[in-house]
Amino acid sequence: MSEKKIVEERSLILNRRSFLGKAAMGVGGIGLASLLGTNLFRKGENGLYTADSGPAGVKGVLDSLHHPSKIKRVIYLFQSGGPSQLELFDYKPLLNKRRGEDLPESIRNGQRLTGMTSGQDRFPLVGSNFGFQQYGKNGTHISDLLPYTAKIVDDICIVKSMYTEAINHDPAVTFFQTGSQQPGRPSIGSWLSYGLGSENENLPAFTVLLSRGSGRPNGQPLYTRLWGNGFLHSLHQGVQFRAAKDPVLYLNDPKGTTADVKRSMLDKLAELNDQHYQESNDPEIQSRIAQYEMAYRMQTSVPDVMDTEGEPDYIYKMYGSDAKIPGTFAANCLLARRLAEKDVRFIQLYHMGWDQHDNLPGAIEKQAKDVDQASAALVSDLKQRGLLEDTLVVWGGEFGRTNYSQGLLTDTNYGRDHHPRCFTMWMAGGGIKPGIVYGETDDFGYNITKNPVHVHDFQATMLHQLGIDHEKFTYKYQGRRFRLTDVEGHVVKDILS
Amino acid sequence: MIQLGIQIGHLHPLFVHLPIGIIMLAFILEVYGRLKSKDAFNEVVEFTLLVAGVTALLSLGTGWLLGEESGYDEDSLFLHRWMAVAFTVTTVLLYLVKRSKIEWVSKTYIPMFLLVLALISLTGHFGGNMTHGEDYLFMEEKEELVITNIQEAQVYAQVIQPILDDKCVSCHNANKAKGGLLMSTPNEILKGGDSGSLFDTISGQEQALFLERIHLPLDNDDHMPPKGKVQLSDNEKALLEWWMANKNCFECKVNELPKEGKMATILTSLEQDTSAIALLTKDAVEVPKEWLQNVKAAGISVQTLSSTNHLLTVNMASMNAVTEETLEMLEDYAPNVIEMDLGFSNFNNDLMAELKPFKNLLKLKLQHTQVTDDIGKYLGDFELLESLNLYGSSVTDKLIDELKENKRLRNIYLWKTEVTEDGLAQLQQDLPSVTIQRIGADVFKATVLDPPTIISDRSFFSESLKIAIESLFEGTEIYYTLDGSEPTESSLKYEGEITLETTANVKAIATKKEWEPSHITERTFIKNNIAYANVDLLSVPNEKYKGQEGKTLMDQKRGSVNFVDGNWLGFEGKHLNAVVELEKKQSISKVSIGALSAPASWIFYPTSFVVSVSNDGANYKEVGRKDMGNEEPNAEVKLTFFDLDIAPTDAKYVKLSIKSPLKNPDWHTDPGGKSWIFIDEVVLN
Repeated sequence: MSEKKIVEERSLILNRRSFLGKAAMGVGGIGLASLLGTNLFRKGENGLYTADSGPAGVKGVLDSLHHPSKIKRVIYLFQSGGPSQLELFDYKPLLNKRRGEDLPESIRNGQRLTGMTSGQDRFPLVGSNFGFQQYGKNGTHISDLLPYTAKIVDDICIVKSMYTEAINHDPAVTFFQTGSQQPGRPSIGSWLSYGLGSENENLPAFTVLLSRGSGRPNGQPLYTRLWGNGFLHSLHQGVQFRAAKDPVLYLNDPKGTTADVKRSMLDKLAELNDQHYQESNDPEIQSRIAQYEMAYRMQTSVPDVMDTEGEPDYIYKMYGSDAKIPGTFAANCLLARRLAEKDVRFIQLYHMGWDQHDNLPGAIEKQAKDVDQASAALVSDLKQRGLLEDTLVVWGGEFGRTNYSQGLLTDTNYGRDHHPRCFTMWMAGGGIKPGIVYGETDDFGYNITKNPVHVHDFQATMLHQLGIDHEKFTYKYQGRRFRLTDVEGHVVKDILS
Repeated sequence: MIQLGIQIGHLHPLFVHLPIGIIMLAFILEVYGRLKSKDAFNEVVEFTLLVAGVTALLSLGTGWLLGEESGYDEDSLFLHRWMAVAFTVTTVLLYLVKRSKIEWVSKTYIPMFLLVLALISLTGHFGGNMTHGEDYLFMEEKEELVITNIQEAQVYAQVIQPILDDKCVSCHNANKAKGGLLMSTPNEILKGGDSGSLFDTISGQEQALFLERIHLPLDNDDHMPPKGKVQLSDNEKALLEWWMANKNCFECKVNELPKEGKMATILTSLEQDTSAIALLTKDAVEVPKEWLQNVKAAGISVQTLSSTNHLLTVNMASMNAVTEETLEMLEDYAPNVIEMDLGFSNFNNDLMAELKPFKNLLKLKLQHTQVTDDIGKYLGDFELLESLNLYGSSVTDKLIDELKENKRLRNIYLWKTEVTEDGLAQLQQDLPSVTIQRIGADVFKATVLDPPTIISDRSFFSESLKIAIESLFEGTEIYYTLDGSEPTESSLKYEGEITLETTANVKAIATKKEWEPSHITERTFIKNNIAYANVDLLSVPNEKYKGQEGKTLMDQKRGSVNFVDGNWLGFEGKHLNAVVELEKKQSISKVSIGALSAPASWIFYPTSFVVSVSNDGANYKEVGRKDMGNEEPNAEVKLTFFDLDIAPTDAKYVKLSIKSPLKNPDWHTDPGGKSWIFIDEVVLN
């Protein structure tokens, strides 16, 4: 922190101190939250960021957007493990025709391999064991594994030409979520919480929901740092909503605590924290105070959102009956819609289990079943409620899978290794052209032949839709300005309507 | 020599402004001195005129040399040049007149001064025309070429000419034809300049002259536009190249030419945005920050579209205290508001009149509010309305008639309202361009019900066992069988707890109106009334999966698919031999072993097992064997009981020899690797 900023922040403290003095003198019964809300943590003229949680939500650092936005929020259905594009979206009949033949070196062209197939002496091509049919106005090919996605194909934009730089899960997921393969940068949701703040003061701007896939129930764990705030204030880290009695850990009061006791405890604690802050000037203490207050408000707002009791039967008929079972992808999709209705800025779902190195046909069938209906239902449900106009729904994993079999190829069984050179994602909602397919891959499904989209391009596009210029949205840390898109990224204008 | 002259000539712009300023100064001093009757000024004016004369000579000299450079319009040059000569001469004369003591000469002083001023004005004007173009001073308000549909646009007139006008014509026009090239009209462009035709490729070059000059490095003297002038943007270069590549047509339209790759995007970007939002943006008044802050402080989320766009979006969703005052607060900048979200708020018909000032609303969200058809009469006021959300409100078909006037409506949300299919059809007919946003009736029709759960904390029993079957959904009906046959809606209907008295394979389905029946759920309950004293393991289980050793096989607890749950015994690459000792000698007629298979975890079902019995624990007699064989390729995690019926035999000791496949099958990821068997229970009957 520069000296100037420290001085300015100190003057801020003084305001707060006198304010707290007043508060302590006589306001008593009125909650600190409502009082502090508008006056504490205001963003100074100097651009110094501090949380301002007013009645109209928590302010972000961007006073106004760089350009008019198309969307207000994002629901990111992250398919963790690397879904096979060849079984789901990228129809390659040539691979079925040439099944078992070696992948030509001219196609592989020196692509590095993971440790899992580098020992393999053959790379036998393998096509999908599942059929493809054409759907929608444009006759888009969709796999038989995704009957529901096929029905909403006119609402989504399928990008077949995604590519990434990483080849293993952790760096690849980290790359997608933070723009860097190395851990330590803020996640997309944290950037947005920092930049745009929250429209709902009672819920965090960045929420995370996890589910395990049935394709590979014990495969590929995730790490909380994937929704971490990196070098931003910890106020901006993603809050995980669990499928359990306590959706957010440590939120509920211990038994025997009354609301009064809790309130006065928080008020006193805020005072102590404030004293500490004036001694140490550690901005994290401000985050801490704000988090206590947020937690206090979430004691009522979170149970509200998580209580799906009142959802009618026809909603479960849409999302699938799995949605009744907490912790499933379907249940999380339903929660995602509820959070979107409450104006939560960034709703991140992770569905694990796509890492199908072996026994892919059996595993992907179950895995696709986990997500197909619920994903389609989410898009449709948002649509009929009018939310799809200003929500971006993203579906996709961290990389694709190889066009050759990992392990032995039999008539009914094969596996696929990680493949960074091409994979498929889809997007739907505000400002994205619906019903189109963007990008092409070669007949082997190995290389991109048209309109490549890099991970940073995807991130730049997402920010663009939110009204943010990815090149202007930076945070200075350790002497350098950081961006979500690092030093790259181009907005993919062709898919924008 | 000429070249050197021209070099010196380049100093002309440096000197040219001096005589203008100085002669003006002299005039002002002259007038001021006369007004104040100060004679001392005479000397100053005299000196100033001398300086003016000298600088006029310098300007004239350098100007003459510069005029030798080609590219200037001869007529303009002639006028400028000789006017300058006249000015210089008159200025020198004026100086001499000022100095003169002769009376009649002195009388010509003032007229001559005025002549000098006239001459300098004209000279300056002609010079300026040559440098900046004739229309520089009184730029005609050009009719702005607005492209609303790029496909129909004229390639040359609407796309290319504006670029040339902007970046080239200032030096290549009739007054200042640098390089002998004029670029104002198609004919001039086709004619080319001193270096040849723009469209010819000079030998040794790859591109036509025009493109070559554009693509030269900026530091190259021949680069166009020259360094220091406003450069062509990448998009402009791409457009010029595209035009040249398509035979630099002058009469074609955009849709007649091929557009590959990025060209389509670049061309589209030329299209003028004539959408409502773009037009409103132009006319929007700026919203003061203080006003925004005040409104926000009152709890209304209001935002400008961006830092440069003053249109507003207002979000009052879920507010339960929207009042007339709340809306009045926004009235000052009501025309700026293009989007208002009142969804899930207390908004109602009475407040609708308050929305009247918000005449520029493009998007109005009234979902889940108390509004009824009465709002219809107000909707016509929102002429620009593009999106209207009424889902979850109690509007009916009556409203549909009122919507006719909203010609610009594109999206409407009427889900969960009283509007009927007929009403929707009527709406679609009235407003063909509106999209009624909803889900097709059949998309989620065939959703399968979740299977019911068979509930019991045990899988084994000795006398009888009560089990329950439940569904997650209310209003479902459950049908079941106990004999392993497929349940259907004509099977037994579940109406309360079931009491089992024999071993049973319970299968159940759930059904519900409008849902597809669930998949089958099944569970086996085993009656087991033979008491064990002990199970002696002759093979040692793997250290990680040894459960309670032998006791694991007689604890009547089934293992789960999670094979680390402690209820399984795991053996890697070896068979399992065990002896079950009964409490007393009993008749045995059936032997069952519980096993797990999870090929993805290297676990397979046993291939066979052999049962031998003994009364003394030393001499065994084989009484039966079962062959299961090797598994077909699969990746399922599953568990089952393998049953073997034997002729009833009395026994005190039962020896089991369970064979493992030992190695992974050929179809496995790791063929030949050591495989596992997992056993959780041995049941004798």
